[in-house]
Amino acid sequence: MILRPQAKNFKTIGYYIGKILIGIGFAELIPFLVAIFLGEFEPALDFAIGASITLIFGFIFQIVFFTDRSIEKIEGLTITAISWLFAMFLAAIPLYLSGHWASYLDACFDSMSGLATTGLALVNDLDHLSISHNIWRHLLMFIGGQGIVIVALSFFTKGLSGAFSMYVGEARDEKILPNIIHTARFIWITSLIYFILGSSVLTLVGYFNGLSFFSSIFHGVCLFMAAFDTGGFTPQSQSIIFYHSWVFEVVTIFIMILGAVNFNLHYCLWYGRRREIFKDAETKTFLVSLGVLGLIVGLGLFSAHVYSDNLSFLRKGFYQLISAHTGTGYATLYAKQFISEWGDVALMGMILAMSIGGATCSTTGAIKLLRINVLFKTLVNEIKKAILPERAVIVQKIHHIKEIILNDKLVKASLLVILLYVTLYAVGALAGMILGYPFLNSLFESTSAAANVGLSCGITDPSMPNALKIVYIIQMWVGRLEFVSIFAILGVIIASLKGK
Amino acid sequence: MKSKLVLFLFISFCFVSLGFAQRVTSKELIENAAGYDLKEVVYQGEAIGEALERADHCWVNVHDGNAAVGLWLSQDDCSKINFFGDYNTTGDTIEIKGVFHRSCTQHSGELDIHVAELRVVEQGAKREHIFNRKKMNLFLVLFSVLCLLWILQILKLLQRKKSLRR
Repeated sequence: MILRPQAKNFKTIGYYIGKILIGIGFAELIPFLVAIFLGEFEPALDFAIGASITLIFGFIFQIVFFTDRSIEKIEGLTITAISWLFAMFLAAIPLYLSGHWASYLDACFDSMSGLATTGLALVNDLDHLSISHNIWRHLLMFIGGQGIVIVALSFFTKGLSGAFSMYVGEARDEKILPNIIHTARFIWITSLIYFILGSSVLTLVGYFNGLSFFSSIFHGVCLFMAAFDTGGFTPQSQSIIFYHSWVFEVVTIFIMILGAVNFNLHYCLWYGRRREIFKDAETKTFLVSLGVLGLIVGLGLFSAHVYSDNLSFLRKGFYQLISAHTGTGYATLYAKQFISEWGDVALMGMILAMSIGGATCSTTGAIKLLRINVLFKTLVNEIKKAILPERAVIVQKIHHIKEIILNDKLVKASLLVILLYVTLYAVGALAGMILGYPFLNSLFESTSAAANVGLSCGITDPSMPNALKIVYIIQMWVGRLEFVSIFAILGVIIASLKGK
Repeated sequence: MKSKLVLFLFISFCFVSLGFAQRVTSKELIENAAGYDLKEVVYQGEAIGEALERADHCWVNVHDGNAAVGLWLSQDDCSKINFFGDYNTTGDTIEIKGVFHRSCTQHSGELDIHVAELRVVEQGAKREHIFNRKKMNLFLVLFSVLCLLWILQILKLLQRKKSLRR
């Protein structure tokens, strides 16, 4: 029997959404202060208005839905999914007020793209956007990458059971420490330490590559936030091409990979268990898939005679591949060049890389390396079963932080998520084709949106149909939250209609 | 006499045009890079960001309204550009003549233009940002509502604490 949700359930959901909105409202004060400091008074007003509206919503939710109940599992998941939508609408306000987005829908698109660490953008005249608005775009990636709810978990939440469901709702099903609040805090502390180190390195690289001192700090901070959170926004319209520097490319490759690594492995690294990194199934899968996909992209580029020398191949082919595989979306070539120059084979290699993504419990989206590993181990198991005698017992293990036995439950869960992602990629591609774009272009852009990558082959543009913008927003949202929270919302809606 | 002058001007124009490089946009260069590879082109747009110096040359990115393309130019040419576009500045509009590379071998695969000639078509300037009074008024109203709600929230919490003590 399905139980209809009661008023107390909706009150809890509303109350905690209010808490999260207050967190976002306070986050808007960072670009506000930057704007005041730099004398960007018009943008400061945009953030003052944006923060006020967000805080007003937060307080209204807290007053109207006041409760001291702790969160139940289904409530936690619903809170996460709905919070992300509210966050998109409210974080878009200062962007829209800047006048650089043609419509509020476009601002919402970029806001979701930032929060979901995708990197697709509809901003106009980015090169003349204020520094504070640029900081906000990149900060959205930093907040979204660690998880909006993790902010709330770290600072506001007391109830542990509900906290875990909110954490899981943001596509993180692995605890690093026994206590979930401590896990959330570890993720933030790790990210902040990497932020200081990474931004400093990028600042130095920028300074020695011709940027002024202030610009190098600004670019260093922005690039780190977008690279570590595998986001892909950049302060200039040309992405990484703007810098014309291989050193920038090497450093960003390193940071992108760091962002795609499981936070559990960061924990091992911090506590001196370095061997764990090379023993882990996800690292091995990453190296193998990088090799195979590198071969596909390489063969594609070689057969199409795209680059004449090895260095060009590395700076263009390998960089784009790493950017796709880690789900970042930084580019050292123009969007249209993918279609006009790369050829179908290389493009397919890129689509596959985007569809796989990075590690579980990292800032990347997509299917994730662990599930690909499970898929192949299952395939090997089935082959073994066919070869070996019927009585033979096959025990397949995966080393992921600890030894895990490959059981039916794990296999089923992994295959289900893979199937859901493939469906999500296909639905977006179909939408693109219905709206008049060619098959490969539609599949490329759809995979990029749903896997939260951000590479574009030229479809994402302010002039694209509004329907497609909405499809991509939904794909980014669903892809980032990995379905569980979305199913929770559907469950609550069905229970409200059919429950007793 | 007049018709002879017109004919002379027409022939001169045709003659001079043949000697000139092709005028292109960033869209044409990016979408048909192979077609323009190693050809001399004329490109015009706004210098953005800042000049990125490299020994005796520098990189300047020039945006023509559609996309920005990287220009590789000498320090002498670079020094002719005074304004680079950003939030506070409209950059100099420059016109350059140079050789376009789809995948430059000197710069390991960059799509760029090696500049031979540069002229500033229009000087850039500081951008004026007019303070929007409507936005200010909206903020004041919102801030008042926010303060009211904040007070309500505090009162509600105090009331809750009192009832718990009882």
